[in-house]
Amino acid sequence: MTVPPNNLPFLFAAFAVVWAVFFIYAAYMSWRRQSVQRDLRELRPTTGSDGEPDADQPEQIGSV
Amino acid sequence: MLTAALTIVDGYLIFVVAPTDQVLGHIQRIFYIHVPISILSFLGFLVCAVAGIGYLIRRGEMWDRVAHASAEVGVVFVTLALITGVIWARPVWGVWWTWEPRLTTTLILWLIYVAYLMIRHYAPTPQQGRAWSAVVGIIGFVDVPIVYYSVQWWRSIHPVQVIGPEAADDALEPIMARILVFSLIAVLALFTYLLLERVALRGAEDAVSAIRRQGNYE
Amino acid sequence: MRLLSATLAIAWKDVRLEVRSRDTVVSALIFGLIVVVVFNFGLNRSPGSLAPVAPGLLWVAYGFVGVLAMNRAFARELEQGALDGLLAAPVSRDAVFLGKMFGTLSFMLVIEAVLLPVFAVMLDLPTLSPVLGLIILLATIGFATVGTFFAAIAAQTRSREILLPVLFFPVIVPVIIAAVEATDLVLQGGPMLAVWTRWLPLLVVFDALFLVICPWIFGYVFEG
Repeated sequence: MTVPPNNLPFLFAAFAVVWAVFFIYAAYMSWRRQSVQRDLRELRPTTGSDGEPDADQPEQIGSV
Repeated sequence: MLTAALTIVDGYLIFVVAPTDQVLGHIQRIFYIHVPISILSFLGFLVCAVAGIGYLIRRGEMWDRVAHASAEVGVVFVTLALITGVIWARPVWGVWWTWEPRLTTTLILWLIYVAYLMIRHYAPTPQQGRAWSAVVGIIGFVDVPIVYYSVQWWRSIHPVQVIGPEAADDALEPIMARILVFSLIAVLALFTYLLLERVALRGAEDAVSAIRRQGNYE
Repeated sequence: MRLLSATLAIAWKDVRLEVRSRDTVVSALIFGLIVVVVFNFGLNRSPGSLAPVAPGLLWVAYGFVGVLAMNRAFARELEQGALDGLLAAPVSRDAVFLGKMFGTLSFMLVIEAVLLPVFAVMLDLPTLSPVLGLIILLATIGFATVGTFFAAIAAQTRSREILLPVLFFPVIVPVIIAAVEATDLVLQGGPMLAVWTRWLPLLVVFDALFLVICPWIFGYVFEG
């Protein structure tokens, strides 16, 4: 029975990178979503239209 | 919520429940996240190619949104697969990078789908961007198996220098296999969550640009 | 039959244009030479022959030269709205694709045929055999098929110079691998079994696959 090599720093580096990227990506998307929806609210009254019919009301489906 | 719960349980399984590999040590735990992420990135590009074909045939906006979202999420996943692969290779194989078939194919895959995202960005009109990226997605997906086999043949002539202990692929204990499957489900949930978020974001972006275009014509 | 005559007409148009101006072939030839000279400074650190890396050098140079030629093939169509005329012609998109593809293929083959002896002298290559010609033909068909397709897309964007290589090289990786390995075996004069059982079939499969797919989806390139 050999002693397992000590390579914990690599393990933590890997998980840190993975979680950081996922969080940044998710945070980036929710930030973009908020700013886009703010634009949408500001634009709607000025044109008096809903844009494309199927693009209307982007509902909250991102809660799996 | 489900995604968050699954990933937390997965983290517990990986760090606490999973036995430490006797040969490779703690680093072997990367395996539980590296493998699902790699598999899911391939799934992302499969979805992208299918949605691209769907867009070219049916012309629905939704097909295109799914294709775009899955390509972007796929690129994020491939990037992470490459990074975790590099971090895995250093302590296990003794080198940061080796031109091993799977690693090389993954890198080519990354390049193709970065080009896919570039083409959307550079297309003069949204319609062109949709059609062009759909055909690039299809070509890229057809190309990947050929790349894999050619790299494998190429490698069989110039073998990779593997330093350090080698991991035996079939030496997976049952508990390890079960944790791997659980990780796959957790990462799949994460993938689905990010994909749906991205599709919804694309929908909102499209709505804004549609209004902007209308505003310009008035 | 109509497809064939339309294809040949489009390819012939490109060839005549090139014969009159000679700008693509000449500039591509000079560029190919420059690639060898620059690589010489990069790789030939000790006095001696570059022969061991010659196959790789040859195909990297052919790849770069090919991108240059393919960019020119579609850039020319954009001048004075020639592309709109070509697309408005009463021929199928398949014929447009195949015509442009054969035009590019013939330029590239001419360039490669001229560069090959020059390379052979400069890189001190041992032997040239007819099998090498077959490898070059099959690999160049693969280059021209994928390259023409992506050049049609890239030409319509602002950043065509960068977009074509970025799209082209990752997809063409199997062709580069097969061509380099097969050329290496031919130049070494060693056992040719792997050339016939592995690398040439790989090239044939790649060519056949993309010769079916590219004309099939070529129509979508001219939307919007």
